Amino acid sequence: MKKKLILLTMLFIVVFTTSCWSRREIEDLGFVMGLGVSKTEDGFYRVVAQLANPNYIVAESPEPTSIYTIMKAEGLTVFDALRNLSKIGKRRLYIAHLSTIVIHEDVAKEGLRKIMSLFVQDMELRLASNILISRVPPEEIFDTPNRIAATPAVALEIIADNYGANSKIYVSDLLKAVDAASNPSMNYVTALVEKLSPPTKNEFPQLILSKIAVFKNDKLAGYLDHEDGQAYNLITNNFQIGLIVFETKDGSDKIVIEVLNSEAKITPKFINNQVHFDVKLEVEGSIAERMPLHLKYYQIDFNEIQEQFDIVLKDKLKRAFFIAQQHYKIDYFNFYKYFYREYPKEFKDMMDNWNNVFSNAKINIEINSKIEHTALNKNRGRI
Amino acid sequence: MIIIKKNRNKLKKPQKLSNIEDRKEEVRIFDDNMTQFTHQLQANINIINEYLGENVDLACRYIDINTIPITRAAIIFIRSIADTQKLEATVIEPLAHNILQSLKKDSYDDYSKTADAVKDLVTNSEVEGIFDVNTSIDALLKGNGILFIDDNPIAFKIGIVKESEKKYADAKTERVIMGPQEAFVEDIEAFVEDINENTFMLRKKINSPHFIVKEIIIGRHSKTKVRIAYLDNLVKSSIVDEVFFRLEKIDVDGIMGSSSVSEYISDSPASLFPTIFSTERPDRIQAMLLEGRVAIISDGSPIALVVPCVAGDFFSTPEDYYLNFYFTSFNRLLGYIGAIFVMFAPSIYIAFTTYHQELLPTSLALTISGTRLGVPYPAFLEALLMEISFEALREAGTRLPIHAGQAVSIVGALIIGQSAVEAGLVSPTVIIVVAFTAIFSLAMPFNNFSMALRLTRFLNMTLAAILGIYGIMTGALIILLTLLSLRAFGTPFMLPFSPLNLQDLKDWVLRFPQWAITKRSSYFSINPQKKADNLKPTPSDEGMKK
Repeated sequence: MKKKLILLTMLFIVVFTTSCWSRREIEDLGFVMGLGVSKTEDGFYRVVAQLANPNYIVAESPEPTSIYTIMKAEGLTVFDALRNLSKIGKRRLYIAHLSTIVIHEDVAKEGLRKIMSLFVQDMELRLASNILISRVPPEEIFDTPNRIAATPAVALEIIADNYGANSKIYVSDLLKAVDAASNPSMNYVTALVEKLSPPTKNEFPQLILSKIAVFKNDKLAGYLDHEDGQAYNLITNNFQIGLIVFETKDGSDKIVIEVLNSEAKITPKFINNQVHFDVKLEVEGSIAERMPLHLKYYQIDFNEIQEQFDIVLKDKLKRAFFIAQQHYKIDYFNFYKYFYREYPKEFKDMMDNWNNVFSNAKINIEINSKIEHTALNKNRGRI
Repeated sequence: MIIIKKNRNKLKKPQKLSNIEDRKEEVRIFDDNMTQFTHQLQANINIINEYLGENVDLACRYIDINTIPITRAAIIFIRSIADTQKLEATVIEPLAHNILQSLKKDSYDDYSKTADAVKDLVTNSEVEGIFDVNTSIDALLKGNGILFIDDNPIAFKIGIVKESEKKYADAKTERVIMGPQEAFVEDIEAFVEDINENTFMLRKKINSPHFIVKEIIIGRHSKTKVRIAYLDNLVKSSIVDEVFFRLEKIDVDGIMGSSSVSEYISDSPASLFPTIFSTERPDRIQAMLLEGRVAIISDGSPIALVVPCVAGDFFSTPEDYYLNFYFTSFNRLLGYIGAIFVMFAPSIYIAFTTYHQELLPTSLALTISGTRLGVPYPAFLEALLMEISFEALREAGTRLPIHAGQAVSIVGALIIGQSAVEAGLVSPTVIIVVAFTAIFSLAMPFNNFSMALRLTRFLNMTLAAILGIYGIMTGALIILLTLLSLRAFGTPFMLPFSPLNLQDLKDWVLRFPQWAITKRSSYFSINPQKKADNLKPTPSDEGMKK
């Protein structure tokens, strides 16, 4: 009995002396939706936080500019700057719901490794936030009100989630950035965010994820345009339901293929000290649109279009590899993974020099496309 | 003329059940040789006693018929299902007052003379001579009287069956849409000893010589009659013995109704969760008796207790067997989900909004944050306030008369629901959480069980306010361990789940079609097979299938 009493007392003390440790009421938190990192001219880091204004979000028809606030502070490191934000009279910052991190081009060129430490250390943060690169200061990106009642950071997340509709860009998240920062062989890839001038007089400026930003390991190296973006997604198996447009051989039609399914198989080979990659791409799609360039309709020849489609895809990929091997000399497709799995010993010797090895690798492209059907509807609009 | 049935065939004898031989439990098996009545009156009475002697409501009235010399006769009947007024008027009175010539037989096989004489005397409309013991037992169990006359190996079946007038109450607390509407009435015996309404209702539903009703008197001053009913070929005798042991131990001035009996015989008297099942519906008691359980009915109470009971019982509604089984299975699952909701919903709200905001979807976190703006209390106090006011409202609604009860709900809905939110005292989110909890707790079929679950909610809320999700897990463990440690008359309380028994899950978690539930739980019953195995309806021949 005495033993039980002592145990019970101990349990009671253990439970109740925690005194609600780390308790915080939800209404006291400032939800940080977006975080921007840039550098001042003096070499300080500048952190921009976009906070959601929950009381305006639940309002019936909030003003587009009232649903968020933006705070800015400078510090010696990112974390220091973030802490300096607490000097500004706002709610206590809570970054667990962070959806978008915008990094200025200059910081990205110096390397992501320098600023990743905070994101690795902070346990509050999910590693699912998207990372975007910006040429303008992040505060300008974040101060882009919209009419869809979403904070700009969330609006960016929505665009990023729907990249598959075009498959021309690729957005990667914090987890991959941390990965790239700690893995010297991995080359990071993410999207560039730009601010467009307002389309009409009464509209707000708009945000666009325009290009793919490629990195040499963690340092920004350059950008890929739409064409190469699609090729990138095809090669890395991230292509979803994008459209591929081409003209038929005789120039009579423009054909749009909506890709339904695509799979790239990469097989590395190591013959006579020469690295080879066999890229086998299988694409399934349907004809989604046909634009006759002359006023004449004729029967679509499937085989012809399929052959044409093969050639178009092959050209796309060839061009993409050419840019990677000759222009950037960077393996941003991260082909090292395939090679490492097959030839771990050989890879060890090449590890430090991998980007060069990749640039000189022979890449063999094989396309196997299949056009399932025409999604064209003949009878619509007729009786 | 009286038609004397000389039915000497063996009728349905209580069968010896082969699959229970290896068990320790022994089933009362009736003597196969006793199929015929004898010439001795007392021996005949003993034969009947052999079958039904254990029942408290078996009565035997000796009559001296005025013959020269005097002939002894006896009428046996079951008091709770026989109409004693009819008996007195049509049998005892004429037999006792009329003078008759000798009823002794002339020759060995000539009984018709006796029969004629009885027929002449007894003014009952239905008199029938029976030679066979089983037929007469069946007749007794239907409510007929059996008249024995000394020196005559005949049983006279006398039609004194009590007419079932529609005088039971409608079920009030366990209502169904389809299905029988009757419920136990307030008194099992309303002062006059032979009106045994509740026993009558059970006897009407179970016509087996194995159905035993025993009685003990509890209370020094109240002398309350408590009856114990069971089927002795299904129930484990250890359970019956335990019930008697516990009931006989009760030494109090008086007991008020069955619920106070249940507190004296409960296995874990200090437990929050009820381990004794109480119901007012005879059809439900019938079903539970047929599962091999024991019913306890006490005088002056419309509620019967059933032991042993398990957690699964509290999730089955009386209506389950009158509705489609898909729908019932869905209802059962809803009940289990509801139980979890009742216990944990407010505490999860507290834990998520004060400790684990990262677990909420972003938009929900922002909405809660926005609606809680300006609320002066922390989430725990806010939820506690609302939960307590809901409990008070519920209590007020039950105690008040129906018309005033409506006023309470208007006050609850308008003042607490709307004004408190508008005044900024509580957030709409907590109102929604409390409302959901209330709906689920009210949807649970058994009030006493859902009340226990509702109380655990306050423990969970406190723990969640101190320790977050870790606290909720602690609370869940405490509740689970409590439930797992409960025993009801030797039966684990969490029966279908722990120990896991897939057969039992068929009827306790889901509700399989009737033809698929063929076994009783072996935890109560010594004879698990309750139906034939091939009951699934199929056409009898190929022709019908087309």
